[in-house]
Amino acid sequence: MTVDLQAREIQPLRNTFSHVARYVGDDKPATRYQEATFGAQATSNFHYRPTWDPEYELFDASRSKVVLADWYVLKDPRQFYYGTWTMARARQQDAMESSYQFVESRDLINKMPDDLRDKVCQVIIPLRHVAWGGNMNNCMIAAYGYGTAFTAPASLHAMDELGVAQYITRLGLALDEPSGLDAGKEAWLKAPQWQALRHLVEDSFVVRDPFEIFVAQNLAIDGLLYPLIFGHFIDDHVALNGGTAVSMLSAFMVEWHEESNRWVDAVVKTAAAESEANKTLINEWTHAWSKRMHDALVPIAQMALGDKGASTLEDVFTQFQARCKKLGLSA
Amino acid sequence: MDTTVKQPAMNRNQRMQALTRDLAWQVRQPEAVFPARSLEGIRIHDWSALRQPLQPTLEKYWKLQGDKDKRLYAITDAFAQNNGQLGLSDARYANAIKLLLQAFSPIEYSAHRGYARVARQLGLTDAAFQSADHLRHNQLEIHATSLFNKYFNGMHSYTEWFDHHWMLSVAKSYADDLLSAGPFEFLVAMAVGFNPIISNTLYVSYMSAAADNGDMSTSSAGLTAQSDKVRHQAAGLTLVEFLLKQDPANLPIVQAWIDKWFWRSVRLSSLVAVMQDYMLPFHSHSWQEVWAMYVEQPLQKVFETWKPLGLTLPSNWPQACEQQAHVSHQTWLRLYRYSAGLPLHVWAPNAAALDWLSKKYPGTFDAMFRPHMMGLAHQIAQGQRPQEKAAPVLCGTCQLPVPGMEGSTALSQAKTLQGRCFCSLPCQHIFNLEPEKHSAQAAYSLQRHAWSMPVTQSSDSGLFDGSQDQHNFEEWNGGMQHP
Amino acid sequence: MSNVFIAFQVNEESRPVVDAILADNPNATAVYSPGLVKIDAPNSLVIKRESIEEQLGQRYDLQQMQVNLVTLSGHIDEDDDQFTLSWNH
Repeated sequence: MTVDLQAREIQPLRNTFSHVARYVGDDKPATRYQEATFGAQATSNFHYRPTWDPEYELFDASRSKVVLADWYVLKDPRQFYYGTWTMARARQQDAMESSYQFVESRDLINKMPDDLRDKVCQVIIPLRHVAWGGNMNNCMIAAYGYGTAFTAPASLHAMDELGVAQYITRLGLALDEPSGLDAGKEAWLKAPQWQALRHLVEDSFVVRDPFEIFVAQNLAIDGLLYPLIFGHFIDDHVALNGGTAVSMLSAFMVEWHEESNRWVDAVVKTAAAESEANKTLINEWTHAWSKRMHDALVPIAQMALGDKGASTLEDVFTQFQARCKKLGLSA
Repeated sequence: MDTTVKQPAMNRNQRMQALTRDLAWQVRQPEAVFPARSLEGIRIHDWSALRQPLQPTLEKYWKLQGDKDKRLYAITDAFAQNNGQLGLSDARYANAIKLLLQAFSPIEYSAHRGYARVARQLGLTDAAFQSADHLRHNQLEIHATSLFNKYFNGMHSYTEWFDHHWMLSVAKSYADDLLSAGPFEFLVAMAVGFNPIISNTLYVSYMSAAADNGDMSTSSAGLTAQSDKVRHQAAGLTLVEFLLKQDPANLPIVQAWIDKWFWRSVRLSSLVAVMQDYMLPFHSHSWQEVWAMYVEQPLQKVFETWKPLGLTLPSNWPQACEQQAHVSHQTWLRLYRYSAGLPLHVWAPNAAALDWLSKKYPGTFDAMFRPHMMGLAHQIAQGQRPQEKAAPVLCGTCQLPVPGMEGSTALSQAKTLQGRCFCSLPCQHIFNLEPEKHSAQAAYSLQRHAWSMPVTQSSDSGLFDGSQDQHNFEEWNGGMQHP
Repeated sequence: MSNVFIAFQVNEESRPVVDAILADNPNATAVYSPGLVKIDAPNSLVIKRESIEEQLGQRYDLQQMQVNLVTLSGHIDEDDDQFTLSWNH
C-alpha cells in the first residue's frame, strides 16, 4: 500500500508588505529585521505638532543637520530586532551570572590585593554615571531621530548602556560596601579628576541634533572610554596584577562594545559617504567631541594607570583616529 | 580595607534605587537639560518617592524577555511551517487581523517613540524600559501577522493606510495626540487611557478569542505583549498617585488629562468592539461583557481608591458606559456602508451570529440593530453592493465619523464650520481645551476630502462574498466551505 | 466587597503558580478560556514563592511569574518572597 504524502500546493499572493518590498523587492520573503524596520515610522499627514517643540513635525528629519535622501540607508549590520537582541543579551546575562557564581564561590574578590581593589573602585564606580548618560543620549536619538533603521537600534543601545550602568553598580557592590557607591557619586560630583568628564557628559545632554549626539556619545565618548578603561585598565593592568575576577565581571562591557561598534561604524560611514556636506559635519563633530573626551580622560588615565596613563591614552587616541579614518573621516 | 564592621546588605528597594534613580545626579543646568519637566505646570518635589512595581533590573529583564521571545517565535515559526493560516475558523476572521495591523500596530510604534522621549525629557529610566517594550509589541505584531499578509489581502500597505485613510484617522489622531503631548500628559494618557481600555481588551479578551478561531500566532503575540503591559499598567497607576501626592497643584491638571484620555480611548475602542462582536466566527465574550469585566469594574475600583487623593471618575464616564451596548453594532453598519473604499471586507452576519448578538445584547440588539443587519443580507441577496467611496465628515477631535453627517451637504456644512463638528459633547470639550491644536487637525481632515483615496485595490475592499480572500481560503482547504 | 484578579497564559510554566494561588487563597476562583486562566478573589490575593516551589519541586524567582502574566487588577505589594494584590491600600 502506498501512502501519497503530497503536500498541498499553496501559493502566497505576495512575499512581504508593500513598504518593505519597496526596499527589498518581492521575489522572496523578507527577513524579520526587514519587516520590523522598513516603513514602520509614519512619515506624513501628522494631525498635530509637538506641543513641546512646535517648530518641528512629530517625526522630522530636519532636526539633524545631516541630510540623507533616505534615512533607511542606515541599516544595522547586526540586523537586530527586539527579539534577537533580547535573546542575545539573555545569553550574555547567563554568562555573566556564571562568572559571578564562579567569583563568589571562590571568594576571588577578597583574594585581590587591597590597594588594587581600592583602585578599581576609584576608577570604575563613577563610570556608572557616564553609562547612565549613555542611556539618556541614546533615548534622545530614539525619540528625536528619523527613521526606524536609525532609531530602533538606538533604543536598544540605550537599554544596553543602562545594562552597563547596572553591571558596574553590581560590580561596585561586589567590591565594596553600599557606601562605596555613595563615595563614587561624591567623586563624580566633586573630585577634580572627574569634573572635566562630568561637564562633557552634561554638555552632551544639551545637544539638539540626534546625529551629533550619536557621534558624541557612541563614537567619541564610548570609543575612547572603553578601550582605555575596560581594555587597558581592567583587562591588562588589573587582570595582570591579581584582579582577574574584575576582568571576568566586566566581560559584558568589552563584548558589547565590540559588537555595537559594528553598528556605530556602519552608521557613521554610511552617513559620511553620502555627501561632502555630511562628511564635513561629521568630521567636525568627531574632532570636537573626541578631543574634549581625550582631555577629560587625562586625569582618569593618570588615576588608573599612573605613569603609564598618559602614553596609554595616546595609544588609545591614535587607534581611535585610525578607526575614524576607516570610516571615511579625516584624522 | 578594614572590613571588620560590615554594613547591612541592601534590601530590595535600596538595591533598585542604586540600580536606577541613584545613577542620575543633579546636573549643572537642569532647565537646559530637562526643559520639558516644567512644560505642563506639573510640580515634582521628590522623584525618589515614585515606586516602581514589578520593575526588573536589566539582567532580569533580558532573561524574562529572552524567555518570552524564544517561546513566541517558536510558535510563530511552527504556525508558519504548518500553514496555520489554513486552520482559521473562517477567512472572515482575517479582517480582525487587518484592523489590528492597520490601527493598533502603528499606535504601539508611536508609544515606543513617545516613551523614549519621556525617558529623555524627564530623565526617567522606567520609561526607557517601556519604550523598548512597545517596540517589541509593534514588532511582534508585524511578525505574527506577516504570514497572513502573504495569503490574505488588506494588510500589504497598512502603514500607508494608517497615514492616509480616513477609516484609520481615529487611530492616527490618537497616536499623534500622544506624541504631541508633554511628558506627564503622555504618561497619564497611557496609564488611564491606552493601557486599561485598549490593552486590557484587545490584548486579553480578544487575543484569547483569536486562539479559539485558530490564530495561535497573533494570539500568542498578543498575550505575551500583555506580560509587559501588566508592568506598564502597574507603573502607570502608581505614577498617577505619585503626581497627586507630590503637589495639590497637580490635581486639576491630571483630572483634565484623565477625562480627555479616557474618552479618546473609549472612542478608539470602538474598533476593538467591532472586532470582538463581528469578526470572530467562533464567538467568545461580547464586547459589552469585555467592557464590564476588564474596563468598567477594574477602573471603578481604581477610582474608588483614588478618591482620597481628590480624583473623580471621568465626567464622561456614564456616557461612555452607556455607549457600550451600541458601539459595536453602529461601527459594523458604518464599515459595511463604506466598505467599497475600505481596506477590509464586510458581510451580513448570518443567523447564528444574529442569535448570538440578540442573546448578548438582550432587548437593544433586536430593537435597534437586527432589522438593519437583516437588511444587509437582503441587499446582498438582491445583488446590491455598497458603493460609497467618499469619506464622511469626521469628528474634529476623535476623527470618527459624525453620525448623521454624510454626503456633500454635510461636507459643505462642515467646511462652513471649519471642521468643528463633533460626534459628542466630550469631544467638543476636549477640542475647546486646546482649540488651536485641534483646529489644525480639523482643517487638515477637511482637506482630505480633496485628495484621491489611498490606493486600495479592489481585492482589498468590499464584500467578503465573492472576494479573493474567500475564494482562496476555500480552495486551499480543498474546496470546503466554512459555515 | 470587590474582587482583585490576576490572569495567566495557560501552559506548563504557569500551572504551579496557579495551583499555588488556589491552595493559598481558599476564596479564589479560576475561570479558563482558550489560552487564558483568570483568577478572581474577594478583596485580596497572595502569591507565595515558597508555595510555588512546593508545587514545582525547584527554586523559583517570583519575577519569573511575569513571563506568563496577562493582566491583573488590584494594588501590588511585592518582595522577594511574596506578591500581594489587594484593594486595602
